[in-house]
Amino acid sequence: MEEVPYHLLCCIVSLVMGGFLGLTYSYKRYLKPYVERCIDRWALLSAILGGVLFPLPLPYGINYPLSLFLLGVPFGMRPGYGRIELITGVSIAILGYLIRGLIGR
Amino acid sequence: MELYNLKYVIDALAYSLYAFLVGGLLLGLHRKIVARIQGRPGPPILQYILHTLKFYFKEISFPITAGNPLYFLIALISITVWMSALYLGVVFNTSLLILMGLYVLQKIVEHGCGLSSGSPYGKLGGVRSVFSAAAEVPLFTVIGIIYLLTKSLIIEDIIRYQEIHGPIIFQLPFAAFAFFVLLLSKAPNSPFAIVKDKSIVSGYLTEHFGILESLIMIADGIAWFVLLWIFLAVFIGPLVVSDPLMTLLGMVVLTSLISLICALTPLLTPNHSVMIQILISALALLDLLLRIVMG
Repeated sequence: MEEVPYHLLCCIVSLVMGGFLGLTYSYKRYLKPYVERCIDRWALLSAILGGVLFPLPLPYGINYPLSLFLLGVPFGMRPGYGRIELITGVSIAILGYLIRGLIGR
Repeated sequence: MELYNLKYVIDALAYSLYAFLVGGLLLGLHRKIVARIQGRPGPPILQYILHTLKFYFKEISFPITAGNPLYFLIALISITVWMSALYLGVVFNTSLLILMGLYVLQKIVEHGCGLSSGSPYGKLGGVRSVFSAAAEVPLFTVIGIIYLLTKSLIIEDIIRYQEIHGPIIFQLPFAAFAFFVLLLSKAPNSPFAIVKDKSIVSGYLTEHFGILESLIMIADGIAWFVLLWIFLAVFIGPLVVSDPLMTLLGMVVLTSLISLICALTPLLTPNHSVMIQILISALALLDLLLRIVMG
C-alpha cells in the first residue's frame, strides 16, 4: 500500500495558497492585462525570501512549505507579471540547495 | 479500532486532495505550455484549480431539457470512477484489469453526461465518446502483451518485475507507445480529443455547469494523475514510482511532452482519429500475436 505523501501535500497546498494570494494581489494592483519586464518589489521580496528559505534546514522540514508559499506569490500572478521575480526566486532556491548539498558532503 | 478507521478515512481524503491538486496543476501547466508554443500568454498555471473552485460555489440550475436523475448523478459517478481508480491503482497497486474496467466505465459517464443534458452539442459529444472508445482497443492489447512478459497483471508484481529486469519501456517500446497514445487521447486539445472539440462547444460537458462541472473537473484532475501514474508504474517502474518526488518529476516531463504534441498537431476529424487508433490497435495486436507464436 502506498503511503500518503503528506509532506508533498503540504508543499503543494502552500504553493496553491501562495498562488491564490499572488493572483488576487496582482489583479488588485495592476489594471493592464499583460505587461512584460515589469518588476513588482513585493513579489520580488517574496520570491527572494522563498528562495533563501528553501535550503535552510528548519525543524520538521517546514522550510519547504514556507518557501513554496512565498514562491507561490510570483508563480500565481496574472499572465505577464511575476516572471522575473519567480525566475530569481527559483534560481536562488536551486543555488542554495546545491551549495547546501556541497557543504553537506 | 475506531481511531484506525478514522485514520484510513483521513488518508483516503488526503490522497484524493493530493491527486486532484497535482492533476489540476499539471493540466494548468499543459494549457500554459500549449499557449506559449502557440505564441499566446496563456492562463496562469493555477487556472484549472481556480475554475474548479469557482464552479463549485456557483449557483446551479437544471436545463429544461435535462434528463434527471442521470443529469446530476453522472457527475457523482465520474468522481466515484476516478477515486476508485486512484485507490485501487495508485494506493493498493491492484490489477490492471480492474483499472481497464474503470476506464471503460468512464466512457459510459461521458456518454451519459452528453445524452442526459438534452443539448445537441452534449449529445454529439456523447456520441463521439462512443467513437473514441477506439482508444481503449490498444489498451486491451497492451495489457495482453504485459501479461505475456510479466506473467501477472497486478501492478505490484509488474513493479517488482522491473526491479529485477529493468524498465519495461525498453523491452516493450511499442506497447509503451500504444499506452502513450491513450494518454494523449485523454489530454485536452490533443489530436484525438474529438469528444471536447470546440466545434461542438464543450462536447458532453456543454450543459453541465456549477457544482456538477466542478465535480467533473475534480474527477478529470484525478484521472490525469492516475493515468500518468499508471504509465510511469507499468513502463518505467520503481526507478520513478518508489519516490513521490521522482513520480512528480516524471509526471511533469510526460505532461510537457504531451503538451508539445498537442500544441503542434491539429485536431483530427472523428473518422481519422478512430482510423489511426484502430491502426495502432492492429499493430499492437500483431505484436501480441507474434509474441504468443514466438513463445
